[in-house]
Amino acid sequence: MRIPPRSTQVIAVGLLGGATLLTVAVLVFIIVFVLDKGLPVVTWSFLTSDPEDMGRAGGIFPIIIGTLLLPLLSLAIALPLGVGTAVYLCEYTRETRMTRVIRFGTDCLAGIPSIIFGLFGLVFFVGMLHMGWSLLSGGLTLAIMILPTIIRTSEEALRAVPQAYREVSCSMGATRWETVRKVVLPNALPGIVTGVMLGAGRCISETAAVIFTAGTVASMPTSAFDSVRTMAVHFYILAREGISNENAYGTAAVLILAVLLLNLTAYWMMHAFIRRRAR
Amino acid sequence: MNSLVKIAARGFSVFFSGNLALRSITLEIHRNAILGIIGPSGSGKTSFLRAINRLNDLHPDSHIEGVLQLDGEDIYHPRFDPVALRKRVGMVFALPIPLPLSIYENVVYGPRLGGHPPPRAELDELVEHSLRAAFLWDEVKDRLHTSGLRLSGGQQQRLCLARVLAMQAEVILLDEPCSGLDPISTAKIEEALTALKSQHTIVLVTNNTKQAARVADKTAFFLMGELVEHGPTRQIFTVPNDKRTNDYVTGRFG
Amino acid sequence: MRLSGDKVAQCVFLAIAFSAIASLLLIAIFILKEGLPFILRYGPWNFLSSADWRPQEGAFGIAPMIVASLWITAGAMLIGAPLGVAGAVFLSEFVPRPVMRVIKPTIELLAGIPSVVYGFIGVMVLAPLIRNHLGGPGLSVLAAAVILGIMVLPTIISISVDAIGAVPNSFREGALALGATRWQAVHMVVLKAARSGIIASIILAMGRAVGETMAVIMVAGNTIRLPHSALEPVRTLTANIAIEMSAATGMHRQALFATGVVLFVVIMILNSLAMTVLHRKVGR
Repeated sequence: MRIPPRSTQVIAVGLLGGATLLTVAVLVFIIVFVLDKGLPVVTWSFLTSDPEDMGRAGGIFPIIIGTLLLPLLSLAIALPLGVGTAVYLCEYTRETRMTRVIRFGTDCLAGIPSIIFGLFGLVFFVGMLHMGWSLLSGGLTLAIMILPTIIRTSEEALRAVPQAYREVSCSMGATRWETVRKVVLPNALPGIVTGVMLGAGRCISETAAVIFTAGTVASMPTSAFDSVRTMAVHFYILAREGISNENAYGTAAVLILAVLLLNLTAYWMMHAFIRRRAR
Repeated sequence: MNSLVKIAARGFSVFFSGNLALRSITLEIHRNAILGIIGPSGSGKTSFLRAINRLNDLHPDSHIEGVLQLDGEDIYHPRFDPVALRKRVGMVFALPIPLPLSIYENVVYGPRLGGHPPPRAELDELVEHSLRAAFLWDEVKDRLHTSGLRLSGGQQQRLCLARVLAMQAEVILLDEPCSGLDPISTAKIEEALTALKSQHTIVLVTNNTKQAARVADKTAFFLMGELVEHGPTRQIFTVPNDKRTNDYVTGRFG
Repeated sequence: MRLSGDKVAQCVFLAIAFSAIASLLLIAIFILKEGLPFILRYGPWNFLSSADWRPQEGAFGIAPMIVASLWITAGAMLIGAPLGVAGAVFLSEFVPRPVMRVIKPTIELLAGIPSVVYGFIGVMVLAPLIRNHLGGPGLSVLAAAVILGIMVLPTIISISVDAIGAVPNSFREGALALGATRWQAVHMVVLKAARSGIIASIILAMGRAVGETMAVIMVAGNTIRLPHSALEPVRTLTANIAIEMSAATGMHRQALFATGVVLFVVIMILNSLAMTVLHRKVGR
């Protein structure tokens, strides 16, 4: 029996639509589920007090601080390196074998799983450089991990700046560096900030690499050599050791909201950026 | 060295990625005069213009042969600084390109380059002077700190001219500056150029032969990368030496 | 004077531009430095094929972990690839542009969910479901495959949508002009044209699945044995490293690094494959 093409189309589209719906539904379900179970736990005291009894009670304040400091440190390192790389690729050279090598290296770096970063950080920063399990080791390791993201988004942002601006600046006797500093970078800023948000989001979500390098100490860090615990790590420990499902959900809720907020801001900035360009 | 000559080209050729864009141009451009460059699209007019301020260097694969001199100095000499050159030779592009800054910031962009920016009072004076010379001051004097992007097309182009003037460039290059503008804006710019030539050397590339006839003291006709003929504007337009020139200015082809 | 200042800037940026390569080399060197000697001493064949992992007695065979990673990744692809590609096709071809422009970023947003959260949901929701309806302890190959399949969906959808979007409209219009229905135009013309991008997305997703650690630790059961059914608990290569690293010393530690080397090599191969597939299309 030959099915007429029209009917095949209806069936096919139905299946495809169903698949899409399923995908979106599952992903939404996860967020709703966690928020539903976790938000009731998130009270002001939960956010501002220290964990007690290994996390069975109390709050997650020092952990929030740890979660803020770690991406801050990583970005402080990854941002100059990443933007600098993008500036070189976009402004100072044309496509040569060298740029292909640099891009290849960046793509490879992007594909390395976080556990390998954890192993590397452990043996290099924690061990060989004697930094121990610390904010520093974690920050440096995560910096390398988000470097490809920063490079990619920065390069895109730089390329979006109209070539005409560079020509005008050059024709007035600006050196390349002056053109980059005064015209290109300020215009690429929103795109670069998007990369920062995405990179920060990755740092916050990361668990394996953080445990291996920043440790799991859940108290307030007083120096860069102190170990810290991030929300993702805390959540993992609570959940896996069966310490407190309730607090686990609470931590997860805060974690998800933070990540969603970062990503939403990144997308909103990207759209504002594109809209401005189109004018 | 003839003190009348500001820019001199001798056997000057330009190649892009191995293709010949300009063939052996020999031409003298006199100071304090307007040279109009006419010719159909693709004849190398823009390439020649961009060679004068070495903007062709931005092209990833270009090289030149021959000599191009400014005040007797070879500007393509390895030790000649292109950045310094561009402070003496300014350019107005075909599409008005204000930088995404305020009007004030646009005009002072050039003078602020180079690590020793002049003091604020001097800059203010420079801004007024340049905007007046570009016939734009009266229209924008109350909104110097609004964005340059908000001006009309004609105003933006005059802003670009003011930008070049603020650099106190000796030479002003204009690449079809009025191509997108209405007749009134065009007239304002032509008026400005005529007033400016007493202090500057002006090279004006234009697709509009009538504009060259109105404004240029001397005219050069480029065709397919070659300089066919050049001379006083009146002569080029009435009794040219070359048949091709005659065909072009009478509109037989374009 | 000015010239040299700009030259300095150029050199500085060139040096910075090598930071990514330098990091990559550092990582490769140190992982190999810790793991390669062990592999050579123990014998690669033994390491990879022995099902005996008893560190206390000096037995370091990772075959059970390799098989576990293989099964779970395959399962994840079986679930994620069809769903992902279907979703991508639907979003690109059968949904109005403004709607797509809302849904695609939403899916990518959801990709930001940390893997530990996925794992936890797997433990709390999926595992009991499996245990009650299909048997076994719940924490199993199946659970991990499903969770990983969901986790790679945003990757597959995102890249596939881009690939499909890159197919020139003239292809679609040509097919429609010949009397094809929308669906026929899609599966006979557009999908073929976007094939390399879609395949690349699946290979990249495979790499992500193989490298995933936290979610599988929580959901796969962590028993070291060769699985005979999808309902059995297993331990993957990544989970093995993560779980045993804290207490490992000496040869045991080196064996874990050696596992890292294996992972590194496998994922590098997968990623290079994906990149070649992508670039072959561009070169055409």
